[in-house]
Amino acid sequence: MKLRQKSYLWTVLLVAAVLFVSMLCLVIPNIRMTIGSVESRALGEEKALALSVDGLFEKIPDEARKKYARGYAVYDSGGATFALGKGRETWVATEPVPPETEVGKVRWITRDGRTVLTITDTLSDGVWLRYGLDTTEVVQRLTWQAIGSTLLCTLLTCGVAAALYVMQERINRPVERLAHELRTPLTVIRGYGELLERAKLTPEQQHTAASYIVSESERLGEISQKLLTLADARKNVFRPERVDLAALAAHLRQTYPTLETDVQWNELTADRALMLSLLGNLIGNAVKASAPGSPVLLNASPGVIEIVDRGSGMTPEQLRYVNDPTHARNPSVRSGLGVPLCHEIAALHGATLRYTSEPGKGTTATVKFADAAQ
Amino acid sequence: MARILVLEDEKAINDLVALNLGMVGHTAVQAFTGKEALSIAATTPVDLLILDVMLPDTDGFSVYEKLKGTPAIFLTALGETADKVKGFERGADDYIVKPFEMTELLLRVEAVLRRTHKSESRYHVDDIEIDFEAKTVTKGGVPVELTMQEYALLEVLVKNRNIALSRQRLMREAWDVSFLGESRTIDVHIQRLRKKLGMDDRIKTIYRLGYRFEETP
Repeated sequence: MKLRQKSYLWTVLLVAAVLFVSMLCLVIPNIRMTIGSVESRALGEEKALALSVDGLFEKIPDEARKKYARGYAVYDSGGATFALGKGRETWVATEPVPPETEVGKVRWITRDGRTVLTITDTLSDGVWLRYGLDTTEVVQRLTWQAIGSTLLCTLLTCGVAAALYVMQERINRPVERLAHELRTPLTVIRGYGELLERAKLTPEQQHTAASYIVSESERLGEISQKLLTLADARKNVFRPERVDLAALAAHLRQTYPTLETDVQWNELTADRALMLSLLGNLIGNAVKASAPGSPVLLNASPGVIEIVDRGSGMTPEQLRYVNDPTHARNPSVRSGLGVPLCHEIAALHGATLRYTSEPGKGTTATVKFADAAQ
Repeated sequence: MARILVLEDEKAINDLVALNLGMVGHTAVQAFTGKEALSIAATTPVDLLILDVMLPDTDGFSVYEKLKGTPAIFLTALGETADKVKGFERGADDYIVKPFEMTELLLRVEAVLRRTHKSESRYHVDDIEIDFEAKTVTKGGVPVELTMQEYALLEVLVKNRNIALSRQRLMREAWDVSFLGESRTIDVHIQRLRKKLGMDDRIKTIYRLGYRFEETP
């Protein structure tokens, strides 16, 4: 079990990784185009800025340049304040750059998260300037956005796949149960058949073998009946009609002699055959749990049908299983397909099935219809 | 003659397994719940457990754990790899998947018993005695000369006594030959066995099936 879960996890992770990488491959050309356009725009702005600063620099009077001892000049150019230095360092910024800031050959400066530009190199006496907007931040942001959205898409796809898987599991589980259910009668029929064929049996043993073969064949018949009901429910062969509940109860009383009914709900909209199958299954299970001859009650009030028995009851563990409409193989309740089928039929009618029980005191199965007004 | 505990909650299958074990001379003790099995095993030791995996009160694995040391064969209706792995991780000796063939189960029982030295060591019927350990046969105290092939055939027939075995099965189990074809070779060896041991009425030909060694002719 552990082994299976582990390999399962790896498969899921691998599929998610492949999805992620392939989606990223699809997104990359797009992102590169966007980055390209951002960079060319930045280049254009850089050129324009360079031109205007160059023009400014031309006009700097000598006196102004001498204003600062360390060779910095400050200019006001209609909104932006430039600090220009001559020599090895030249700064252009919205505000004077502290001279003690370390200056490399090329530097990016950001002030108030706004202006960003590049700087400096020197010619012998003149100044060689480069200005521009810093695109690294934009490129970084775009890259992370791309990765983030790809990741989101991958997660969404995985989510949808998981949902589909769960749905399919739900659909297959009753069928799987039936396949398991088939094995006991098959083992018995085959085994006793082999015995009859191959072993030298006493007449009593022969009789036992034959009667087991007959009773297990009957069980196969029951399973096939359940399978057909399930197939009908699956195909949504759901023909709702007005069903007279009192008549239905009377019909059930004929099949189950220990059934006592109290019907306060005259008509409900339901598929008659499916409803009969649902109630029949619930009553059948209740009768099985009860002592022979002990009564089973069917109470119906508008919107609610209850099947009550005073039988052996269920442990909390068993109760948890039967109340779970998707319950997996369940060793403690060998009701065959019965309970999951009941949940399925209830769901088709927009109703819910819930068991309450106490060991030794009995069990109540409640079918609650969502549309109680009918 | 091993004492074998059969734990299976389906009465039909439990009876079936017990009947088959009884056929070939084992003593089958039947239990239908894990609790019952544990209390039986606590009072009298058993040589082998045949355990159903899914039980109403517990599962076969935990019964096996509690009776640690007793070899076990698991019956599983699941046929799922994960459950097989689980069984073997905990050291099960064998498992068999439902629906299974009874002769297959008996063969596996025999294999496990042989491995754990709980297999019957000698068998006698009429004036014939077979010593399975020394692989010798005596008739009226006088050793009977049997070829290897004849002896192997006799052993498989006796270990699966009262149950008919097909010629194919006999070839496979006795001689480890699994090709389809000249299974009539079996007939020749059976004739010799019958002659050498005077077993005309014990080794019966079963029409269309094969041969059966009958304890009570």
